[in-house]
Amino acid sequence: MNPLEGFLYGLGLSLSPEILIAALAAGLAGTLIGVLPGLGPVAGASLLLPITFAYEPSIGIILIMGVYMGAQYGGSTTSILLGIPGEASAIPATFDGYPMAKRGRAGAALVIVAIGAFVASTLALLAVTVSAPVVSQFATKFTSVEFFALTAGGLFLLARISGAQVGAGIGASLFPMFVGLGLAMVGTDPTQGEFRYTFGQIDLSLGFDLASVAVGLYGVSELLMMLEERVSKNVVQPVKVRELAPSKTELRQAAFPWLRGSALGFFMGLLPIPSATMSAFTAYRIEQGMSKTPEKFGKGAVPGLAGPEAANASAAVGSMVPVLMLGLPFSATLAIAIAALIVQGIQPGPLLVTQQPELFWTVIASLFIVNIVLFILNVPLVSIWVRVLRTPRHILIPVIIVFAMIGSFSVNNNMLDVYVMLAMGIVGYIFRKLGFGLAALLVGLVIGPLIEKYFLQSMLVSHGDLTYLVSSPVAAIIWIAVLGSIVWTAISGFRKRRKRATDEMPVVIGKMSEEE
Amino acid sequence: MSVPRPESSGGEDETFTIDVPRWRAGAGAVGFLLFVGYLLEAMRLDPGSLSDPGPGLFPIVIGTGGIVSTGFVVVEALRASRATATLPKGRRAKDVIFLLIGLFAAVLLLPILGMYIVGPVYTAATAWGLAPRHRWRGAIIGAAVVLGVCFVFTEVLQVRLPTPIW
Repeated sequence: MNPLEGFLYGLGLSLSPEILIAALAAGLAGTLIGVLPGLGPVAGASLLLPITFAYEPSIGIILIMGVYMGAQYGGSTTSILLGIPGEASAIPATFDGYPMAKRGRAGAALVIVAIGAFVASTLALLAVTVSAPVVSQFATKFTSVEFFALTAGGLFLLARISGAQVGAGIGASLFPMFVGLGLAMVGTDPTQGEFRYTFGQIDLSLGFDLASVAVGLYGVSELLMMLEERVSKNVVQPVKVRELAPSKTELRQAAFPWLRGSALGFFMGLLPIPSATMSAFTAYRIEQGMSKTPEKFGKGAVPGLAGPEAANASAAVGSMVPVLMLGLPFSATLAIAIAALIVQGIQPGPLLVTQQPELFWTVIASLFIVNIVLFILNVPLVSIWVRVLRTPRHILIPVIIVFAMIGSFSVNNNMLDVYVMLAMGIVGYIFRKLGFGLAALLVGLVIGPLIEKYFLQSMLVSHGDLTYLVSSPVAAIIWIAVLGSIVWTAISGFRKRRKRATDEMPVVIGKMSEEE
Repeated sequence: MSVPRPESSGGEDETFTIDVPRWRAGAGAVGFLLFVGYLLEAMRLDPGSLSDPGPGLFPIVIGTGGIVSTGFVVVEALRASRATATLPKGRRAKDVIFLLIGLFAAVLLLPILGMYIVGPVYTAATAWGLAPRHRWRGAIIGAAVVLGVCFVFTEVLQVRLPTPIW
C-alpha cells in the first residue's frame, strides 16, 4: 500500500461517528486543558488515559494526540490574551502575540496562530504519511542493539537537554532520570516473573501506573506552585468578532514564517528533545535573524508569532514518527500515547505499518480531522476560553484535583494509584523548586522496561559481551552523541569556572596592591 | 523547561528565599541513601550473569547509576554559584498547607466515604478556605461542579469511582 492509498484507506475508516466525536472531544478538551492553568497536556492526557481503555486503540490515540494538539492551541490563546503562556512551548507567543493584543489586534493574532498551526500540522502530517513507511522499512532492520541505543541513549540525551534548570549540572539532569528508571523496575521482572520492590504488596506487582505519576508530578505540583502566587492582575485582552480577520499585510508577513516554522518543527520533532518547546524558540530566533526589521520583534511583529507557532504545531506531529515507527516517546505526553497503545496490546514499532495498517492509517487520517476541527472551532470559541480564564482559582484548583483523583483511581480501580498521585505531587513540587527536570523521570518510567528488555536481549544474543552494544553503526553514532554531550558539559563547566575566576581576579589584584 | 510565573505584586513579604544549591545537595544526600537502599534490595535478587541475566541485574545497574548521579548532584551543588528559589510564607503558605492537608484528608476518607461524598465536600471546603470573599458561593459552585463531574464519569463515561464502605 503506498502512502496515498494508505491515507485514503485511513480516511475512509476515520469517517465513522465514534472517531469524529473522539476527534472533536479531544480537540476541545485539549484546548481547554491548554487554556486552564495547572493541568497541561501531560496531566490532561494522563487523565484521559483510563477513558481510552474502554475504546478501540485508534480512538485512544486520537484522544491523547487530540489533547496534545489542542493544548498547543490553548496555551497560545492564553499567551496572546493574557500574556501568560499556558505551556512552555507557548512562551514565544507572549513575545509578540500579547503586544499585538494590547494594540487591539488580539483577534488577528489568534487567527494567525490558528492558520499557522493548521498549515504546519497539515504539512507535517503529509510528511509523516510519506516518511513513515520509509522509516518503518529502515527500522525493521534494527536489532536489540539499535533499539537499546535509541532508548537508553535517547533518554540520556533527553535528560541532558530538557532535564534541569540551566547551570544545575549533569547530576540534576540524571538524578530524575534514574528515579524514573528505578520506579520502572517495581513490579514483575520480565525474565523469571519474580516480584521486584513490591515488599509483599500484591498491588505493586503491576508496577507504578503512568497516569497517576504523570498527574501527580505535573498536575498536582503545578497547582501547588500556582497557589503560591498572588492572583495575576493581568487583564484578559478583549476580542471583538469583527476584528478577527488579519489584514492582507499581516497575512503576507506570516506566510513564509509559517512555512519555515513547519519545516523546522517537523525535523526537530524527529529528535529526542522537547521538540515543541525548542522548535518554537529556535523558530523565533530564526525569524528575528532573517527579518529586515528585527527591532520590531517583541513589540508585535507578526513573523515573531507566526513562525514559532507553526514550528510548535509541526513538532507535535513530527514527534509521532519516532512514537509510531520506533515506539520511542521523546516527551512525557507521547509517553502517555505509547502507554495507551501498550495497554491495548499494541506494540508501536516498525512493524506497525505492515501488521496493523488499519490502526496506523486511521490514526494519521484522524489527526487531519483533529487538525481541521481545531482550526474551525477554536477561534469562534475564543469568548468561551476567555470566560474559562476568568474562573476563580479557589474553585478551579479543587475541581482539577478531584479530576486528578478520579483519573488516578479509574486506571486500576485501586486506591494505591491515588496515594501515588499524591506522593508524586509532593515530589514534583520539590523537584521544581530545586531545579530538577520532570520529563526525564516520566519518560524513564515508560521506557525503562523497554531499555531493560533490549539490554537483556543483547546480552543473551552476545553471550554477555558488552561490546556488542556498540557493534552497529547506528548504535555507535548514538553513543558518540551521548559521550559528546558529557564532554561538552565538562568543557562548558570548566570554561564557566575559569571565567568566574578571571572576573574576580582584578578585585584580588587590586586588594593586594592596596595591602602592599 | 518551566513556564515562567507571572510577577507577583507586593510579593516580597509573602515569600522567603532558599539557597537552592544547598537544598539540592540535601536532596542529593537523601537520594543517595534511597539509592543505597535500592541497590541493597536489588542485590537480594538473583543477578544471574551477563550471558544469562537474572531479575536483579538491571536494578543493580540502575541502583549504581542512581548513586553516581546523586554524587554528581551533591558535588555540583556544593560548587555551584548562588541561586535562589522562593517558598511562600504568611497567607500564601497557609493556602498551600491548607490544600495539602485537605488533599491528605480527602485521600484517606475516599475509600471510606466514596467519591460522591468526599469529592463535593473536599471541593466545598477547599473553595471556602481559599476564597478571599464570597466563600459560600464558591463552596456551593465548586461542590455542584464536582457532583456534575462525578455524574458524567459514572453515568456517561462508565468510569468506576471509589465507593463507600456500605
